[in-house]
Amino acid sequence: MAKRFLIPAAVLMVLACSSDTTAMSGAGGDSDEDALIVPEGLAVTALAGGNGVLDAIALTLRDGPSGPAVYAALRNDGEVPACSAAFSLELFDESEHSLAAGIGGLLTQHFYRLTDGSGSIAACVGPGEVTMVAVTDFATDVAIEDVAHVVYRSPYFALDVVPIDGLTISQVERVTRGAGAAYTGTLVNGLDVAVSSPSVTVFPVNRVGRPLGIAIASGTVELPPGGRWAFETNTVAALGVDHVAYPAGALAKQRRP
Amino acid sequence: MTKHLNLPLNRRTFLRGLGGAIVAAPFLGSIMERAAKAQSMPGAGGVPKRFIVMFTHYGCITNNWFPTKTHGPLTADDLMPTTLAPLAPFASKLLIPRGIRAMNEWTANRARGQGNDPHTQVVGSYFTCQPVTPNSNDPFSFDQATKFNAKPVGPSLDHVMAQQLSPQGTPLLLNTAGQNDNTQSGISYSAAETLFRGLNATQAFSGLTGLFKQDAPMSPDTYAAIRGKSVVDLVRDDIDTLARFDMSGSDKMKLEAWKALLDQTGTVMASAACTAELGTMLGATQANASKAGMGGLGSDRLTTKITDTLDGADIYSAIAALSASCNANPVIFMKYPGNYLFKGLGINTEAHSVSHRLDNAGMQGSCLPNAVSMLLQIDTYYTQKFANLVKMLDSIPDGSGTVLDGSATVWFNEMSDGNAHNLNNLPIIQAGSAGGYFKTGAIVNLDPATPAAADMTNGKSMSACMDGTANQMINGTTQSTGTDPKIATAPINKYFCNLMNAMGVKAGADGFPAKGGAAEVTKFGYSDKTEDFIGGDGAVAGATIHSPGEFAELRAT
Repeated sequence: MAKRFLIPAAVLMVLACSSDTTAMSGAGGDSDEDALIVPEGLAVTALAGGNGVLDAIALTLRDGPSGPAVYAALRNDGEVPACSAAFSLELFDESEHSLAAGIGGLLTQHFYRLTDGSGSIAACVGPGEVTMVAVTDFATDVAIEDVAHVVYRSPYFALDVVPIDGLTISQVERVTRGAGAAYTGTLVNGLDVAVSSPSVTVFPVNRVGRPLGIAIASGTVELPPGGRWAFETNTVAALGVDHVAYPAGALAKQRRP
Repeated sequence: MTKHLNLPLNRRTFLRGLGGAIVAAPFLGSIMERAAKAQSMPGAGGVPKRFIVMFTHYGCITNNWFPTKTHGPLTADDLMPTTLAPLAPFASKLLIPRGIRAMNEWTANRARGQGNDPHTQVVGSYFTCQPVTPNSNDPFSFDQATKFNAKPVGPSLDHVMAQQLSPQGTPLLLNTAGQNDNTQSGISYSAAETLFRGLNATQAFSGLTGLFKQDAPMSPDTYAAIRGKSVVDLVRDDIDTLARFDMSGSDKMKLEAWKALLDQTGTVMASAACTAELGTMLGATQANASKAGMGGLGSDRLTTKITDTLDGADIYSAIAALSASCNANPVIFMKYPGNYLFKGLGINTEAHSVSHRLDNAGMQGSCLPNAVSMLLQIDTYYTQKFANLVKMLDSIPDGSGTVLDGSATVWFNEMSDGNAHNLNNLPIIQAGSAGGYFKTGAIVNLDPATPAAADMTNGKSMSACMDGTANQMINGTTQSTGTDPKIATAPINKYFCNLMNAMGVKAGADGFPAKGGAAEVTKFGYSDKTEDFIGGDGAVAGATIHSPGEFAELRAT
């Protein structure tokens, strides 16, 4: 059974910051293990002027494998599924100069089908659901200590959809690999179409559910409906007290009009 | 007794005489420097050419943007009823190529391009005409880890041109709000999958000051040159004086040769000045650049007044005009930001959402009240900025004309209608003929479906959300506010070929631009048929340039 992202109700109340002008600040609890925003003092704000339903509730900015990396958790605080959503962000310094920009797609554990008759499958974040994203492809090198503000916007499609069985992940375990750790498990294709290039993204999280990094498993197999794929991610530093896993892949056969 | 000038009149002697005794030395110095620079650029021997682009996001209200007339002479009267009205004074110097389509359109059924994202694949392919990678085949893909990070598999037009034309080998990319772009908004790629970073005002201005003629107050001659007087006019009296000397036949021939040289290079020498004075006249000063380049978090830097008459965006235009005048770079792109909040226009909803006629990022829902009015405001603002840029360029004498005349200055928009994301029927307007290469004072209908028709459609941007209330619904996936995809589909690749040829870019034997080539450019990009982009690089067999060559209809002759 896939690990689900569970945040204590009391924490969720604190995290409910749907206002466009409300900034979250990197303050944390007793340590990084309780912090929702890291580094401390980092301000995280939705772009003013109508961000929509997806709100950042936890974020880590740190040096990644190839420059700065942002790992974020967002929650759908609206009443409709947010489909094919992205997390677009810009980093600013203390004097409010732009330092870099990046974007990533929001991963999801739930799948939907459009009701417009097209039969299209959509990845959507349902109301109340928490999703995660890794942004590691910033165009420029940025010193983490120079970043004072993160401004984000999460565009999405508010589609008319119904939930369907999708890709599921089960039996996820962290295993020791040398000085680090990897994650193993099984991905099952519950869709009614074949899926190619399956992948699993695992986010280690701290005690309050803040994503700390990612580990990725990518396959080249094609999974027919009902097919299973045993995966193992790359080796990463052993981080966090828990983890959350998200499946992905490509539809093997195209739907064409 | 008549003085006999018997010494050989070589080039150095002549210049020393002119520079030391007759003509202001600083002026001559700048002449030689300018001439030397100009000779390294296309159009050597004439006025240097520049390609200046203003790029904005999220389309326009097409019904109001385009003049009703779609083919024929362009007059101020044609522009006055449209959002292009601020450009009416320049009608004779404008060219509107109608019916152009950009490549790789996103649709919900993947009918005209890849399935990555309505903006990521569009901006990535816009100036590259290349597909993006990684490819996504599902418009609502759950393979989200890569679909928004897709980048084109080749370089963009600005880099292709700059590799041949710019001393640096790179374009000048100005980010007009000091923003950084990601793959959902970036347009400039120096190579495959390599996003190019632009400059803010402070950075760009700093790069120019080193080119200024320092400690040289403007002499009358320099001023006259700035006003477009040729050098041969300025030194005519001195040449006449020399000609009265009793000199040998050989020296007379040399003097005539010098006069001829001055006549030939006069237009270059009298080209636009690169001085702090010109910068001040335009508004491109260190102080203004600093103000315009200040941090943009939470503020509307574009519309903030920097001087009594210029806002932040205008300062970038002034820097672009000064850069053109300094021949700092013949390829200049001014990139306006995406996801912008035009607080200064009284608009409190972010521009991308407004383009969908919504108050949120959802791309579907109840109409934002007065959304169309807001979009018209934004369209008018952009037009005013382009008009100000055009005015600046047209105020700088250059040879027998102005910097504008020697340039192709083009306003491109990411898409046609912002809600529909359609890439046919693109709003494109050009100012300047690039030294006589292009027609001006004209609208040219290039649409293969309605060739030269004067009544082609202006689109359907006003088909929804028009009553000013939230009572209607709008859907960004249905393309209801766009233009029929069968109309206005002339490939943008051909226009890019026009622009490259106008600027002097050369191609290899295969017709694709190639440094060191000698042929005319006839091909650009992966394909000139947007359907060839479905599935990404290599997925469609036979993807190619189906219609090589430029648009002959846009040529002056």
